[in-house]
Amino acid sequence: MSEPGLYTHLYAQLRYCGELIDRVIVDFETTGGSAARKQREDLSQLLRALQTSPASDLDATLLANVLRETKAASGANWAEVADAIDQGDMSGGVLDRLEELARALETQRADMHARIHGAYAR
Amino acid sequence: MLADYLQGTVPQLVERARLLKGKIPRGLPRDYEALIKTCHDELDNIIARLRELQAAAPPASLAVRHAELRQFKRAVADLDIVETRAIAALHRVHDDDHHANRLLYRICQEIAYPALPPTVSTLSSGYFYIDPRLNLLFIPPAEGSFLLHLPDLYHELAHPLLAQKDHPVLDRLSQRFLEVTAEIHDYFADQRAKETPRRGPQGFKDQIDIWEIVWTKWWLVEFFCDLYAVFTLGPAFAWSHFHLFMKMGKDPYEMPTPFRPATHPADDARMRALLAALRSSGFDQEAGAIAARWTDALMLANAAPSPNYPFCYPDEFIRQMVAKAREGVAEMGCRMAGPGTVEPIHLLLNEAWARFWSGPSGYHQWEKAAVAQLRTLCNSDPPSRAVAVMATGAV
Repeated sequence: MSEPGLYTHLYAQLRYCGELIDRVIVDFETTGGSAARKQREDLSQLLRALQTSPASDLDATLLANVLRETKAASGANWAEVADAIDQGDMSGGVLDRLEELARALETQRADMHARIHGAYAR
Repeated sequence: MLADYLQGTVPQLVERARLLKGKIPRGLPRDYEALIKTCHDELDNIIARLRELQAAAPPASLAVRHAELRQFKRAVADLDIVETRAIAALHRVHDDDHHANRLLYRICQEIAYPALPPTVSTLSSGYFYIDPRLNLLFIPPAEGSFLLHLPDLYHELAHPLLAQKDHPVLDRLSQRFLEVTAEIHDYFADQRAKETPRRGPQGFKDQIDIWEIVWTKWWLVEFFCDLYAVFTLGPAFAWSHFHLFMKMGKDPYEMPTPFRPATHPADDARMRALLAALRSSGFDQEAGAIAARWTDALMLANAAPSPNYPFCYPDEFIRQMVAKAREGVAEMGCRMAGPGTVEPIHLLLNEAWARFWSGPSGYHQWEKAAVAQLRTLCNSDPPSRAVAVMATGAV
């Protein structure tokens, strides 16, 4: 496969994970976490996999790579973040951790989109 | 500011998405139904996300504004991809596309492809590639008139198999993929552990980190797709890799660095995996012939592996990966290529390479006739998979 295809493959994964996190953030901040229950469950499951066994899930592997490359959210305990999401408690820096992860994903997603087209739009 | 900006911009983008739906030509052959449906679904999804952003109450927190801006950018990018890839492909459908679609359909039948066959467009601007989400495969405009690179279609077919989730059949390949991912982590963790007490140079430890990232982020997908191709087509795919290297290859032992992360594994490592896969499929003689030509190609490339090359691409690890990929492809129920496989496209693509080497100067003439024969075959009614298997005795 030539590079545009590889970029597209990764783009789709980055987009999915970024969307999932942002849905949960917006839901918590606007409704207190009452609307996006399915997304919350999916995200907490993903973050637990990220903490305990990133190689058990394709998306968790992706997140692990993004965090290693960007050095974002270093030292975060993602299992604790997952517990907080399950409990509907975004205090104690949980929101900051999620935002940091969402920013790292978005930076890489935008980079993949630019690579798909061979250049950045400016 | 963001709310005002979205109020002004979102209606424009919604209108753009609606306009794109109207640009899908009518009366296209049935080959395009899946892509047309995907376009409608994707555009509806984008419109819904945009309207949700427009309807959102003025946000109370900065975190929400950040999230909404990211959501907006993703919707814009998704719209751009649908427009510049899928709608563009549909809008410029060509006779060559019809042939390529019929060919791909026949290939999918022969190999018992376990997912919906992708739609093919001959609008590629850069060799072969597939968009797994749109299930849209791009090939160069003239590729359907030649045979030697067509084996790369089999590689592209594997990408969507690794991109789908929660599919009872495709999960079998994903599971093997994840097992190899775990082995990669273990292997490089061992390497790091060995280096720590030695107090070796920090540069080498940093290299291990880079290798682990590129293996799991880029290379393993490529290796698995190569292996899917060789397990379902046989030697022709390894020859196709040889062909691409001879035409466009750079350093066959390329190693990633922090400044050049290398999205594709080294050509030599890919060939080692392909040869191991061929031998495990009973193609020992063919693997020997390819290995001999490959050795010549490496000499001509005048390149040598760096001392770290064996640590980045260990033989033992490549063997394990080949075994896992083989299990995954077989477990999906795909038709595994072997020396006794006699289905027509399989035979033709492999025969093309045999003809190429047995009479290079006359190959071009033979290929012209063979391409015409292939077009006739693709235009005929395809046999059902069950009939094909009974007729050929393929397992």
